Amino acid sequence: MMNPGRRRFIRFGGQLIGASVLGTAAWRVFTGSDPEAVFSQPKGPYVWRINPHKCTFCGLCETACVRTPAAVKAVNDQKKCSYCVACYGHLSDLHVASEMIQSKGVRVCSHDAVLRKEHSGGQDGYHLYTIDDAKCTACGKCAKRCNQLGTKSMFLIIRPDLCLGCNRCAIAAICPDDAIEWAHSYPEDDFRGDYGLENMGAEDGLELNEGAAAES
Amino acid sequence: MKNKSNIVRSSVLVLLSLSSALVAEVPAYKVDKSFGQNELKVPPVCVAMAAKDQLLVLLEDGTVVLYDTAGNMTGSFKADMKPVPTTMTAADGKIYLFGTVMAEKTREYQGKKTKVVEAAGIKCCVYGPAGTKEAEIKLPQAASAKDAHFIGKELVIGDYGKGQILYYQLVGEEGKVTRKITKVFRLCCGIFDFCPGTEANSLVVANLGAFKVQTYTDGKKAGEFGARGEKEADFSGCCNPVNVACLADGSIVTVEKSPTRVKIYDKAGKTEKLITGLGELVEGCSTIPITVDSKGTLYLASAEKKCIVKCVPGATEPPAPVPAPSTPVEE
Repeated sequence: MMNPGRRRFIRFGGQLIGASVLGTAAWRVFTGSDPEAVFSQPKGPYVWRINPHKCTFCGLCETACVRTPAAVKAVNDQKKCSYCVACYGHLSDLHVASEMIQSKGVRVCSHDAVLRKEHSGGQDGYHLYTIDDAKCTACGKCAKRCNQLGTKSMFLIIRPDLCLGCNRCAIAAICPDDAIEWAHSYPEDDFRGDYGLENMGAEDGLELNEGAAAES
Repeated sequence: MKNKSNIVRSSVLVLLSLSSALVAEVPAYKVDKSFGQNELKVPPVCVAMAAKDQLLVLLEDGTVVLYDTAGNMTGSFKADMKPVPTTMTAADGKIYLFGTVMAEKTREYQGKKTKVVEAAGIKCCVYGPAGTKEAEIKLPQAASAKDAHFIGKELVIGDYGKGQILYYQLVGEEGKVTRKITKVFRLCCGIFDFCPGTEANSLVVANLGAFKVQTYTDGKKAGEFGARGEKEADFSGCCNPVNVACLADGSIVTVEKSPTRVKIYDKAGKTEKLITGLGELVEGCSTIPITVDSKGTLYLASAEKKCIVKCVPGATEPPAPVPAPSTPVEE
């Protein structure tokens, strides 16, 4: 014979759990998911990744990804970048006077997501180029020009913190270059490449450039 | 009023004749695009001048092609060295080929270890004109070889990996670094070119990221010219000039890409000549290797077009039409 107090306690507990489940479900149904929410991939060693050696920057990622804006973003590898005065990924026409680049230079990115910041050496000195991920839509125009004409430091990545980690990636399904891989996130990263040949050596890097800027 | 217009007209004519006299000092160049065009199946990556004005062309797959002055292929061989050579120089009847040894290294960033492939050293092999390997020289302290020349008795290497120029004294099959020029170059897009100067122990460097041409004597800077700008004398675009060469009279030839422009400057850095009729040899940031023979003939290599373009000095160029002075506006 069950104690009435105990029975009441179990009934109250069940009601509480049921109410919380129903409440959560109702909240999700009526509020929906936040499109800007930052997701995390399921914990595991594998991630969706773009193979930079296969990617041709066709721009399909921009619309193929189930997320809007896409979980794909352009990035600039600072170890490979030459910090030029005029950058192929930034400007459509490089033959602009140095002092007019910021104000009148025609941008490659229609969303003006490629940011240019003077680092050292004045207007003809070193400039840092970064991609504003809030503006980037993964059209790949900057990376395409940088790889075709410039120093090959810009490329596209699937951001693990934005990717939903779908079982079947919508981008992989239509990628014409078969560049989307379900790959181990360790030990390689997206920043693959011949660093030594493309830049001044990872150890020296910007320190060396600053010396050159002072000289020039 | 008529007197005034006559004075203007005569002064314009005097100025035009003076400028044409100045221009006439520098020979005109005839561009010959047929040189070796049908023979190169692989993109050329480097050109060098051997004795008796024999042109050496290094192809992307490691093949060295030899041409005489008339453009006839006199020989070729494929270097059996690994890594594939990327640059070369010639001296004392020998051909020196240089390749960059790549090595996998582990780097740690934000607690995550990544494996990257980096330039780790130079391999230098010496070949005879027939393609027989004669020696292998050890060259320490360099990460990669982008350009190489003999200056005096020293072998000088342009090391893009560490952004420096190294002077080696060769003792047997080993090179000993005697001095280096470092932390002064602003390199870009994997391009690093220099050439021996006309003065003793001097070299001229295309400091392309800084849009300058710099001269170094005994490892110390002796002069520079150039700036980024829109004028003909300036360098424009992402990074220029990509390549340089020196003529016997001390003039400096600069090669620019995107658009392709070849200009000749005097020692002081004043533009003397713009060679026209070359067309676009490359697209984007690419090197356009250049070498000069004893007669001042320029040889340019285009990897994209798989051809050698020859610019012959002293060729007759149609005289530029002298514009008739416009009718002075009546006041």
